[in-house]
Amino acid sequence: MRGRRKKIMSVVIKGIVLAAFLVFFLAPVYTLVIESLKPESQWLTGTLFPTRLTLSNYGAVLHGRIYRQVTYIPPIMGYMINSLIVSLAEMVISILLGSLAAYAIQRYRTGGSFLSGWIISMMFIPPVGVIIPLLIYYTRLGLYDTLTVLIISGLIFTLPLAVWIMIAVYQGIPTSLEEAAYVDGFGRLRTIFRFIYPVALYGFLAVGILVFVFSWNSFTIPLVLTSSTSAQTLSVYISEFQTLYGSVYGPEAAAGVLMSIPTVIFVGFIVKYLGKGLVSGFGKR
Amino acid sequence: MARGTKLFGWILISPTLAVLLFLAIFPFAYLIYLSFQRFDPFISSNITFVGFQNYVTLTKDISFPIILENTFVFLAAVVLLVFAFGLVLALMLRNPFPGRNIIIILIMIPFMLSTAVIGTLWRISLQPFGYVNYVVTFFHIKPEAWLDRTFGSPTYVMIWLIIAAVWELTPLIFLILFTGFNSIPKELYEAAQVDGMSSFRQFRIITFPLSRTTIFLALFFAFLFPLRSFGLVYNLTYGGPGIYTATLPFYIYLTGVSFTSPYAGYGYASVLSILLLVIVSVIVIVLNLITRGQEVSGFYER
Repeated sequence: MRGRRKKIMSVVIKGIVLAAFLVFFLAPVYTLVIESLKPESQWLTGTLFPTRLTLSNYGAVLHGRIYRQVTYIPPIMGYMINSLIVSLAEMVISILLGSLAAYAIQRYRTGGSFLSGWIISMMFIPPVGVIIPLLIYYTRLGLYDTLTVLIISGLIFTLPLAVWIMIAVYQGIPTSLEEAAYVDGFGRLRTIFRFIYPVALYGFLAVGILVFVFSWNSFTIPLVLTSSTSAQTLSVYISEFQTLYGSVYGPEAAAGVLMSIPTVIFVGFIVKYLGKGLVSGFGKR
Repeated sequence: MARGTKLFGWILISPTLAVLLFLAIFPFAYLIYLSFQRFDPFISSNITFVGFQNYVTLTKDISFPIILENTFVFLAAVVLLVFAFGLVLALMLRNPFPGRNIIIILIMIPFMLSTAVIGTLWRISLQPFGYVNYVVTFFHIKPEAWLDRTFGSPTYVMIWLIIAAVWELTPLIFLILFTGFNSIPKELYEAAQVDGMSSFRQFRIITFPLSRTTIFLALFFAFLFPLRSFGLVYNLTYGGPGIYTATLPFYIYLTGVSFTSPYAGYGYASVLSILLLVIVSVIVIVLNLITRGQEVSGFYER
């Protein structure tokens, strides 16, 4: 009897703690969504269950609108396209370069554990730490405020990430595959493309989505290296609500929701692959 | 290994190395060069050699000790909380139960958001009429304009900045620990239960020793991601009130990009950047040294 009582107590305590964590993690998200649906008169009231919901904030963000006679909110579309181009380009480059580098590290131990450790630690460099030289350099080259520099610079984080995850992917592919291909007279490079890549396809998908999410969300690099709508990305657009437009909360929240949808739909995928990739790529490189 | 294979490996890795050398080594070399120059583009485009003057500025700048204190308070608090929360969640969600996967997915949502959006949703939550002020009244705390950049209390703003950072980072730490714990064979726990081991003892004898590598990995992220979190400061507090929530990455921005700090200029900003990179490198090296000794005996090496 006592054992059962104790067990019930522990389940109840566990439930309460988990519920508290869920409220902590989800309350701000709920606030964001509900704020994006509030009419202008209720933006500052902070009510969590507004009586009237509207999509007008989304309309404002999609088409652009003037608030309080002076505050012009530009349409979101251009920024979204910029974000999309940068993220997709970074995804392709990271997969291409990262898959080759990870192959060398995992199969040939190129550069030993020092080099692989160095590549992976690049991921931890704070972008702010290297942004000033890049800013000066790009300005001199006439590349400041272009999508190209965003794509290149973002690689400082996404490329090491891709290498890291791909190492874990290759670990799961038996070397007998290459041995068979060599016996059949295939060269090393052709073996990679013909036999390894098809097997590693799910790994490419995992890396691709991870890189897309991180690149879509990146903030520091686009903030510093761009200044006009021709290259600014979504995260810069949203941060401008705070710095330029003041408390236009409804449209700001609507923009936040629109920006988050493409990444949040991948959350199940991230749960499945990010932890696994990071943990086994780290342990066995 | 044949020489040809060795060369082939280097050929495969060279594009990645080229990109990373350009993005990391070149800027670092340029930072060192700039740190000995005066270069203030709003005054003149000339670069003049000034010796160690920018490094001396570090000792004259009265904001600098405040920035350093902010950075380390922020870092220490975030590391501690993120690790504690991540660990508690990973342990609680280790064993399957109905609804577990949905809970995991919901917990991971903050990790999927951009810092720009995280700034937005916390600013909305913390505005004078936001829900946070409803909640705090239950704990007999006076509702406030928590993030007020003119009259706000530096302590409160720092606390909220830390909470937002913990909110942002806990999911990742949880996921790493959770994955590590889950790769431990279940039979070990079954055997321990047969022996009547308490759950604390199970953690000490099975979970902890077998997931050392995972724990170090989680520590890596817990220590280094707060040092990257420039975006959160920018979007949530903008360093305010005054500079009392400005961390080192944000101060670099004020000094070298927006030119709004008293010693603004590329030279001094370079000194600050070097300092940031040195702090990051020291943490990476120390954690690496600790891990290297462990890795051999770690679970994943077996």
